Amino acid sequence: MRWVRIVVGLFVFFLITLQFVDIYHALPKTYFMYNPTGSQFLPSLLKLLAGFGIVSCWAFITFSVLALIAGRAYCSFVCPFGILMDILRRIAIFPSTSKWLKNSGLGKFCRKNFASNKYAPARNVMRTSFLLLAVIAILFGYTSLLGLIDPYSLYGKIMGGILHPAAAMGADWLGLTLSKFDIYAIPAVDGNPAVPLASFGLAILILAALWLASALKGRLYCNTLCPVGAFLGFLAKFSLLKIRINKDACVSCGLCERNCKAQCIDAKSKTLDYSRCVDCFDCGAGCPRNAISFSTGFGAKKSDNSEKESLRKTSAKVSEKARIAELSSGPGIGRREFSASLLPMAVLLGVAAEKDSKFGFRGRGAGGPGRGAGLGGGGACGLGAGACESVDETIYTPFPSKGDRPDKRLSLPPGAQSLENFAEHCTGCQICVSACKAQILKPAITEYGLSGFMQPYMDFAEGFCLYTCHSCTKVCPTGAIKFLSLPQKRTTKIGTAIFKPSLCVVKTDGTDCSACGEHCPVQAIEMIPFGDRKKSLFIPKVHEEVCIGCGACEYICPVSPHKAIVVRGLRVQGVAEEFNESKRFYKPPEDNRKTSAPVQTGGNPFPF
Amino acid sequence: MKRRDFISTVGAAAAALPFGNSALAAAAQSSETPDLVALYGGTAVEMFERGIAEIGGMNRFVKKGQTVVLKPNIGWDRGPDYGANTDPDLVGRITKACYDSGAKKVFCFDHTCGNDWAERYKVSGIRAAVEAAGGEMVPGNSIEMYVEQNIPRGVSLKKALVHKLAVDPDVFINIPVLKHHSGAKITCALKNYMGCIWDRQWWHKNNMPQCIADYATYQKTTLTIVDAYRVMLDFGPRGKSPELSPVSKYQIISTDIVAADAAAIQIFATVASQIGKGIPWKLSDIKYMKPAEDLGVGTTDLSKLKVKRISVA
Repeated sequence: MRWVRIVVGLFVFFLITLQFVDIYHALPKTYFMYNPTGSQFLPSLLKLLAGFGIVSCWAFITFSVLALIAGRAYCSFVCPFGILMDILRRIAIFPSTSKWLKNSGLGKFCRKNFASNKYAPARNVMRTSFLLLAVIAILFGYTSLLGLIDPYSLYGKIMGGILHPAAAMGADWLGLTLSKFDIYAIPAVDGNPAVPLASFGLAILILAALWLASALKGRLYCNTLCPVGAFLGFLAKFSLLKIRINKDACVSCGLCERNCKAQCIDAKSKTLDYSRCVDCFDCGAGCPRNAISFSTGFGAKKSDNSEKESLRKTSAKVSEKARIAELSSGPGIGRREFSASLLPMAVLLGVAAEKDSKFGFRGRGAGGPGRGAGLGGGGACGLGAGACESVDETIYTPFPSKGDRPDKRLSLPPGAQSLENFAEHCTGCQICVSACKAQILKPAITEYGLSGFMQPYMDFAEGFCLYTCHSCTKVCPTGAIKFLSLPQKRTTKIGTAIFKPSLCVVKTDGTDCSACGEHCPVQAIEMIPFGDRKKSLFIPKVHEEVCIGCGACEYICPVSPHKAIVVRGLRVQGVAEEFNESKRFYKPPEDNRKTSAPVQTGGNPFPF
Repeated sequence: MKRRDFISTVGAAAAALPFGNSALAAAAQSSETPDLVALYGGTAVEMFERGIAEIGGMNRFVKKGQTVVLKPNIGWDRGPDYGANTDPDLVGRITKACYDSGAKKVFCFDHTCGNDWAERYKVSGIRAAVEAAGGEMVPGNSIEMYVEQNIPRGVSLKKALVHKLAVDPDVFINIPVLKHHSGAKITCALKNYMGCIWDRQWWHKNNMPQCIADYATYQKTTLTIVDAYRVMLDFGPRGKSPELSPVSKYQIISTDIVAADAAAIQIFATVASQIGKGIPWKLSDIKYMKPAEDLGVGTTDLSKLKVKRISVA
């Protein structure tokens, strides 16, 4: 059983992690059709809430039901964060078991501090608080908050913040080093894989904390902070199949307790806390008396009963907290716990709401369950807000940061549909950030306000959304970004280019440029004659209803510090129109066509 | 002339750039080898095969053991039928011709117009064509690949980060595609050199036509092969649909890059007039031509050169 767990767990971990190290975007279409991140518990629930139908929610349903049958198997078999913890723990205790390091200082240190676990009472106040926090975060649409406790999102933050940039930069470095010797076998990756320092720092922090916790106390996170663990743990208490200790065979040697990374086995009383057991089967594999089995317990009805009894007795004795565990597993939550858990949450929510209202962002979401409240009144394309400084906040997204042009607004990834939908479903797992071919999706730090922490936005400073790519729409497990086929994505309008002639080099310097015009993939920028006709200068003009907001023009505009053309992100994404000849602002007069340029005459195909 | 003398002459010519083009031509030509061959009527590969033979064969330009750098236009994520990038078969055929002349290695690169360079190498078909012929595609997407170079004769552009392959190559073959350009009106051989450098935005900001001419004073060019098999007449340089890039069946092979552009501009006007799309720009409309001629990169006056016109049919 233990080996099955290890193999399946590592396989799932490998499959999901593959997406974070796919720096050359080589994963086939079939991979994304059966995307392994679909197996994630909370993301699949969010996907259901995002309106993707019950099938998208299979993971939530399956693993909930499975918890009633076989306990928290999800935590050891499917949860990448849990599996990562097991891996980190393995690394931490490696020196204590390794042949060479065993007797070194490091080996002794590791053996003393990490190698064995002890039974610890359940921390039910904490568990239920965080579960409640998760429920409230989902209800009120503060999913970025959820993303800081949800295991998959935390795992994603580590992978997207450390592993992906490291892999991409490593490949870049290797490729460039080899290219010095004219070997071009390892190509550099597209775009700049760097993530904001804060995002990297957060990832390091999570990883360090996780490593320490898993080395010292195994699955500490899973039984204190993890809302999925708390929820499944509640169900697992009633599960059919359980780890059962044969009390007649058990001699209370304590080996299982030491091996238990969930710290849920009390060898002295020969009992096990099922709400915390993660089905890792380490205990059974190590038991010298074969006293531990994973079974229904029908065969040993009597002993099972006594087991339950003794559990009740001992847990009552063990500590006050364990008594609360019994209580809180009942129908209601203790009054004290409830208020205790509510307080920090209220503070957090208050802070977030305050910040958000300042950004003019989701003011209504905080007032009540504002899910799917389509602010902005739909459509919203091509309203041609000419006056730059007065931007209608109900149509456009928030202002990105102080350094940007005042009339620029954030752009959401294509498929986000609306700011409300995106903000309420994105947990900031960073998988789209890793998937972005142009590597322009970057996690927001304060760009969306506090409540949008780690949710990605389009950063056109070092690239633009590629016309030939729809990677981010393929990977999102939570429904924050809806899948768009390539043709759909190509007409999805995420923003509108706003051109400011007073900044353009054609006007300021009187020289040709058209960098924006040449990069526009949809002919939304037309070059129209400007100034003295003799100079034959052309200046851009934007067809706003044609523009899809890909940011190519903004990226390539040579003017600094403020670009002459910037993208103003839409609060509700729309559909762009296709360019056709009737849309032309400027039609060259016929006499322009008949030039004096020498053209071919007679049978000679050459004009010269 | 002895072979050794010839090689040293070529070396001297290369050192004496930008006068290199004319000096090279003078040294290599006996009497009747043309400076510019204009072709019409075949596929890009057919016209190249005929044209290169007329201009003295590839081994006039590529010597045994030399490293050849090809600079096609691979700017855009468009298939060959858009005419936005150089014809892949042509680039492949040129790669093969270089190897046939004894080249040690043929490299091919472009600084693509976007951050998905690998995709553009692929979609254009050029990667496949070059690699099939044994050439090597070199990325141009990292600043690490670029070396700062002085451009002593530049007027606006004095310094540039130049792709390491374009710095002092043995043989450098420019393979532009002729097409409309929203900023420069027409883009061809001279403008194609914007893919050799890192910071194009600086050019856009600082009098782009002058920068284009300035850079040409620096870049060694052994041969210019203009692909005008398809000519994109409007919505360039990226293109809107393949219908706007009619099959026009032209090609120019020239030792003078400015003359190649001058001829190409006239071909563009011819095609635009015939098809009735786009604007048939005059030579004087294309703003980088006069600075290039003034800087002595080449001549726009085709009557000064030995021009050979060939209809391949």
